[in-house]
Amino acid sequence: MGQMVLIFNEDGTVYKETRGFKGKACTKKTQFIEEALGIAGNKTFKTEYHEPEDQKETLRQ
Amino acid sequence: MSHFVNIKTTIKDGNALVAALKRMGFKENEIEVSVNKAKDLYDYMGRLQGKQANVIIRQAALKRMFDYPTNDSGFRLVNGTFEAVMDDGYLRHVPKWMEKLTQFYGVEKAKAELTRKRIAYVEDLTDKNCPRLLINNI
Repeated sequence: MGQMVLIFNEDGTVYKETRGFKGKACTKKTQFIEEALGIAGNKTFKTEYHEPEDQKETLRQ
Repeated sequence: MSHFVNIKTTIKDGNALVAALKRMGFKENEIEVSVNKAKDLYDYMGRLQGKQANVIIRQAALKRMFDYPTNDSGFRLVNGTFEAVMDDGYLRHVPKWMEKLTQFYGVEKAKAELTRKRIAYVEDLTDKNCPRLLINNI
C-alpha cells in the first residue's frame, strides 16, 4: 500500500505525488486518477521509480 | 458590450461540473441541468443569440456572485466534452473564473473517482489555499 497526494492548483493544473511505491507500481496504481482528470502533463519520477518492483517484495520478506 | 465566447475545456463529467459550480458559490437551484436537450441562453438584454447549453447559470445568479451585467453562461455538451459558453465581458471582470472552475472540477472529479473505487481520502487545504486530497492506502 502506498500514499498519493493530489494538489489542485489555482491555475487548474494538478500536482500528484506518490509515496511508498517502488518501481512502476506507482504509475500502475494511480494512473486511474490521471485518466479520470484527463491529465497529460510533465512527470518527474523519484529514484524509487527506477528500482525493480520485485525488490520491494524481497525486502519485505 | 458583451459577447458569448465558446471555450474548450477538458470537462466530461456533468455531476462533477455541477459540484464544482456549487463550490464556486452557486446554489443548487441556480444551476439548470438539461443533459438530453440543450436550452437557450439569453444575453443581458434578454435576447436570444443562438447559443444553447446543457448546464446553465442564469445572469441573475452570475450577477449575485459578481455585480456586472452579464449574459447567461453555460456548458454545452459536444462529443462527450463540455464546452463553456461564457460572457467575455464577465470573464474579463471576474479574475480567473475559468481557472477556478477547472480547479474545483478537478477536486470533485477526483473525489468522485476515489469514491467509485471505494478508496478513502482526506481533503484539506495547502498553505496557498489550494485543495489537497490525501490518500493513504492505495
